[in-house]
Amino acid sequence: MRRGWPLVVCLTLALTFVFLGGLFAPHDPTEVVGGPWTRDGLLGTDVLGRDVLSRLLAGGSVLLAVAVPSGLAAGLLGTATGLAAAWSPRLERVVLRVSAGLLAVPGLLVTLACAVTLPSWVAVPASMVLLGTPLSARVVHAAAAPLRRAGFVQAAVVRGERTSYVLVGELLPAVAATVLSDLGLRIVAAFQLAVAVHVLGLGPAPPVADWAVMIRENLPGVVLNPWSVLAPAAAVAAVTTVVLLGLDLLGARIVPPARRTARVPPPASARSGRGLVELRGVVLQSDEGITLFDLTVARGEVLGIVGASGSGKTTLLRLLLGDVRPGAHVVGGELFLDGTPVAFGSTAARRWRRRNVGLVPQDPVAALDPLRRIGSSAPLARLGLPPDIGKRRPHALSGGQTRRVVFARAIHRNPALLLLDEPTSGLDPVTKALVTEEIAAPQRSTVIVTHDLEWARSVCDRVVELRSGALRSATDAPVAAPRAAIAPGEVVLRLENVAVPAHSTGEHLLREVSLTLRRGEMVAVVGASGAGKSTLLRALAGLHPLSGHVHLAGRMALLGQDPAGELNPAHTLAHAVGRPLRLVGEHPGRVPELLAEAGLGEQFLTRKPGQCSGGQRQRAALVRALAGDPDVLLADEPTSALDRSTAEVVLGLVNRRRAAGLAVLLVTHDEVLAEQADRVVDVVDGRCVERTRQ
Amino acid sequence: MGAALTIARAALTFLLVCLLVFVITNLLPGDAAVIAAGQRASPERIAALRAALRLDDPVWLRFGGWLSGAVRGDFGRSLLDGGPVAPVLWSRLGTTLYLAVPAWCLALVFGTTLAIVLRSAGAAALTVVAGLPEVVLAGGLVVVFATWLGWFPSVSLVPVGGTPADRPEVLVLPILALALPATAWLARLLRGPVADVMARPFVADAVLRGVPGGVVAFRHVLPHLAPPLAQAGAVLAGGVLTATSVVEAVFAYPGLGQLLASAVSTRDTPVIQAVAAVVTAVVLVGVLVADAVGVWVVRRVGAG
Repeated sequence: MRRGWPLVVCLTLALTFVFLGGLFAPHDPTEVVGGPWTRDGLLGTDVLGRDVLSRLLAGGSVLLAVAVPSGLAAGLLGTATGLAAAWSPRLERVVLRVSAGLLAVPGLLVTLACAVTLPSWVAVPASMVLLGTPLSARVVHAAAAPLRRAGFVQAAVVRGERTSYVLVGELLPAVAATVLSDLGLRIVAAFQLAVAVHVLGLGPAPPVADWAVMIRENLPGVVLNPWSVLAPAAAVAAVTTVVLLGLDLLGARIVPPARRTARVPPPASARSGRGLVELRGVVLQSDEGITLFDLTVARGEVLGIVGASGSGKTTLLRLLLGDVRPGAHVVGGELFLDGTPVAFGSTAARRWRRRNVGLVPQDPVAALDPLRRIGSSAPLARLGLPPDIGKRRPHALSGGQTRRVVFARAIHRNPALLLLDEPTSGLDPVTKALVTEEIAAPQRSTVIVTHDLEWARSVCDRVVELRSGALRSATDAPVAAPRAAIAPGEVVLRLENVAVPAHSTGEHLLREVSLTLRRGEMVAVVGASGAGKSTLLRALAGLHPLSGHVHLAGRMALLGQDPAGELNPAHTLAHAVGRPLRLVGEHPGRVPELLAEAGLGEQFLTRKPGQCSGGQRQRAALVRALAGDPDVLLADEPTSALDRSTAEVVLGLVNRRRAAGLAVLLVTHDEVLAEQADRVVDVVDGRCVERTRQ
Repeated sequence: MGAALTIARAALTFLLVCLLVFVITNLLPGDAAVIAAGQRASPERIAALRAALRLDDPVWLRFGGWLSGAVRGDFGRSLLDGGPVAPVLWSRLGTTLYLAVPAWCLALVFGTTLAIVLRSAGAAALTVVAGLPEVVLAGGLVVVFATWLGWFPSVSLVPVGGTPADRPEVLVLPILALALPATAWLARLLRGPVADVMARPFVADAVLRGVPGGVVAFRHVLPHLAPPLAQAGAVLAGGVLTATSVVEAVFAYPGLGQLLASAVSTRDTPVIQAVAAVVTAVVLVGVLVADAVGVWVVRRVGAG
């Protein structure tokens, strides 16, 4: 907020000047100084020979006095309702239904109806509160509702904050940009209504100066003195623009948008000529961190790319096609297509892939436009599809047919490069045979992205692995760091026969979970995506229903898995880390020391998450989780988005706390991280099985 | 079943909006009789008029009477000249449609195009234009196109006994004054839905297959925008129709908007109620059409 104050002062000064402008007028705004519509004076005279400049200076006060309070009232009431609706499902239903109905009612109509029996300065606020409040509530709700499950909100709930603090202290600052921008819209909407009502002669009685009335009454003389119309019109436009842009800017100051790096101009290097596609030293920056790609796809080669989910395989596939996924930026390196340097996202890249590439995406069902018919192409018949298939829409196809259609689309132009994204998931034998046959086609390069290393080794000439932010040859195994040797203390968390229902269906995602966690221990829960690992953590944190017995001796803290959402974008790191300290009655003076422990120096105290890298945010989130000295840390994929060195800092910090008695329950896909745990629990078919280690 | 429910809900909304306008315009029960009686009327004449207009009846009873007339096309008599409201209403509506329909169509076409072409760019400019009152645009357009360039007349007079189609040049500036903020408003509103459709896998897939941007927009984005576009179009129709009250007053164009504006300043409540009912009906028919478009799309994608 500190960076916002100069703007607030400027906005207030500008509006005060408009409001008090009459004091600076050279003439009395109602005094006749010459003939009608002459060019005397700076802006000439108006219909009755009054000075346009004086009337211009005096003419904004009534409009502002009506519009600003009306807009503020509607916007603030709406914000309060919208925040409450984001928290309470019952209020949510009411707000959404009422606002959807009111959206269809024209505001000017209601204002004019009000103006029949009420003076305009009452009619405008009345209709604004009536119609504007539900709309503001709708807008604020739409921004706040997705944040209900954001990491920083859940962390606040888990550490025991009151609902009022979560709403006002966490949710409100995080949606401040939306609230301010909406406030601007409401004030301008009220301004528009006031102008309309005044134009129609329902505003202040003449001879009071008013911009709206000035435009209307001077239009007949616009040929003689155009400024008599242009000046008030420009004044109205200026006020609405200043209010809208000023409040938008203020929002951007409070919640800084994520850091962006300038785009790199297309490289102007020599031809490479080595392969069909070459990524040379391409550095990709995104919220999740930095990834380096060095890869050449040779002509006629079958190349496999493996890696854990979330490691960036599909992103790499897009880069090979000269396309950058939304939210990421290429900050360095070069792309060569057929030996020619091509800029990412350029038309040249698009043309090249249209001519040369066949693509089979990860989810073929989602890749077909549901509104379009299949159409005909030669390979459809060869692939054993029924003759009428071209006339059908995607929903009339079976899963296997959809896969074959998408495959036919990829190969029907005999592409020089065939890209297959996870082709083995859900394959029927017919398609599998076709895939194998097409991979072996001569004169074709094939790139296969998969998580299945064994299958990749069996069909590919060469396999590379994407791990910890870079490409490596799939052969070198990661070196595991030595496990920290910490003697376990007394039991802090005991689960007895716990069952966790799935979010929507009510069927049990996990059953008969029994687990004990002692002080100083680290237990890893490992399993496939969707097995219910994260849900188990959320249930233990009290954010998801569970049945059975959970005995907890002490306090709990939650570290979520979304690196972008763990910290409130509106709070500085010092504020984020200081809050749990204050909650347990400690002085926040320890904040710099705590951040320094995670390698975050003094300069980070005043930074907001948007000004930090993904790794720095993840470390700050861990510091916050540990700040209130919890007895149990529930950590969901704490290192998945981090590079090797940052992951080591994080683990080192956790291990130091374990030596002081912290118990850790972590959920991960990463076997290397699981190796660091004292015990590993596998989630298989809804049950937890403790792994026996040698 | 779904259709019947939707129509019932629209009818209920229509009733509620009409009731709201009816109650607001009748907050001061004595006024209508005083207005109808004229400036120097005796108390006896006012009392007689009160009885004739049934102003002493409770509001709900009078609303019932008004509603039963309105559904038969009888909107009562004007307080000002005692003539029936309906014929004036229909003729003014016809004149206004010459402005409102082209402005609405322009806003739909250009608003959608802008939303797709600009995506997230130009957000500030769209917000500012959408925030400009129509009268400001009208004033600016008159100065530029009527005074400086002299291309179009600054006043949109319609020849007596003729239709606006006889002098199409008078329609240009009012249509622009209505269409510009409406275009910006629609483009702002559609940016969210456009971003949603753009994020769907089949669009990303088309982009990755190298399909040109224009083809992607027409084939894969536009058809999926139909439901939100239809919803926005319905709301926009009501907005454009009421905005005519300002624009027609500025250009002295004898349409529905001017009828509403003069009725408000003379407190001619039966006219206001009639105009409100017509505008609300237009919006709600639009909303019903939009619902039908949504159902049609859902049927085609086989999710229903």
